[in-house]
Amino acid sequence: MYSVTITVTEKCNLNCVYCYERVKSSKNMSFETAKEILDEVINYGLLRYDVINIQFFGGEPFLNYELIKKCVDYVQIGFPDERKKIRFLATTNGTVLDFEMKQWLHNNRDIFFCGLSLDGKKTSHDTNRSNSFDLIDLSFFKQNWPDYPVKMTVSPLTLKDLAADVMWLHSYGFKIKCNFAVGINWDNAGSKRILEEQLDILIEYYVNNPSIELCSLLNVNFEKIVTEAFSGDELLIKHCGIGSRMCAYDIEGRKYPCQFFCENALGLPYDEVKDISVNEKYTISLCDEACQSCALIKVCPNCYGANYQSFNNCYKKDMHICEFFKRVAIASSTIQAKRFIKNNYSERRGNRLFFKGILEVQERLRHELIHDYASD
Amino acid sequence: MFLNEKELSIIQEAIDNNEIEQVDEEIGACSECDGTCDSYCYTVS
Repeated sequence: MYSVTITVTEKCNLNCVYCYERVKSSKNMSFETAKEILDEVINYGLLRYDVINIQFFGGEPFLNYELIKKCVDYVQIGFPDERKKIRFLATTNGTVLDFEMKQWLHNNRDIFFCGLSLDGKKTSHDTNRSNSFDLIDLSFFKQNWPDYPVKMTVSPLTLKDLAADVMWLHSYGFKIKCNFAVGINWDNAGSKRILEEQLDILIEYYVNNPSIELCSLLNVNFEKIVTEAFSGDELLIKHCGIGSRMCAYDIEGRKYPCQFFCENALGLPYDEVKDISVNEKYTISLCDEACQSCALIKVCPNCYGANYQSFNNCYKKDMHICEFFKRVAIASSTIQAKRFIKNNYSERRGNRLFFKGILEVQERLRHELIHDYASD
Repeated sequence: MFLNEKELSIIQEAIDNNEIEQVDEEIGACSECDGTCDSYCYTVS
């Protein structure tokens, strides 16, 4: 899969508390620039990949709806034989979709996936996202893309409501792609304990509701811990397609490894970042010393762009997120093990290595986190 | 947050007694990424 992000506008009507885009302006991408990008990426992608994802980005992308529509029409007409290989996506704040846009999205829902940023129940969403909850037509997204998750971001302000927000979204029928906000200040005393309390609530919730698909945060792949550890390999596999299977274009049409590096996001000159790359496999020695011996290094979430934004180093992680993920991994392993036991082995019957990974994580992190409790 | 001793034993026993098959299937987050990315992934299904 080749993922291409095209920044169609720098405009946004919101001011979300965790937004990593340092520059907002009234600039839009021109159709001429967009056409050049589409020709380049589609011709390149068709030779190498089975699927090309074209994601429209902002700001709020639907503030340049006309360009989005033109781009989709251009591709549909210009590449008629390749329609099945090209998909369109956008993540929207949901607040600017008028009747015409909704009609167009509905008519194109099979080729254009429109994801919604939704941070939970009204109070949390409003806290994070400029009091915009009441402006969103939730049912529109549920009806048109019922199997696709909303994008929920957790901030320091809403961490205390993590469980309630997840449960509320599930009660509405949404699946959830959930992560902690990156590139922001998580240095808040008590966050670890707050997270543990929230995870305890979610453990009980998910075990008692086995048919609900885990939010992505808690859907850790424990098999990776075991299989890659056994290989004795000291190379880590790149977590995303940054710079290879993935690229991004800013409104001027300049190409970057991903959208995090765009000038409006990072605030750094193009020439400084355009050649940044992360190898498909890289040595563990590039990582923080604390990470090198961590049980979770093979599965730890890693946004290379956020790392670069915070530390000028793609491999250096925010250690607050590190501490969060240890707790998340324990909760995930507990949920999946308990579901397995409770359902009389019928759940997850298919992966012995996955459960070996669960046991390894439980054993190694129990010792570490218990010491963590003692030192508080 | 942790499994208790009994639960750990049950899992270990199930592994030792071959009560959990090893089957190739997609488990956990999509192999394309870890879900941190702000980009939306069409492989979610």
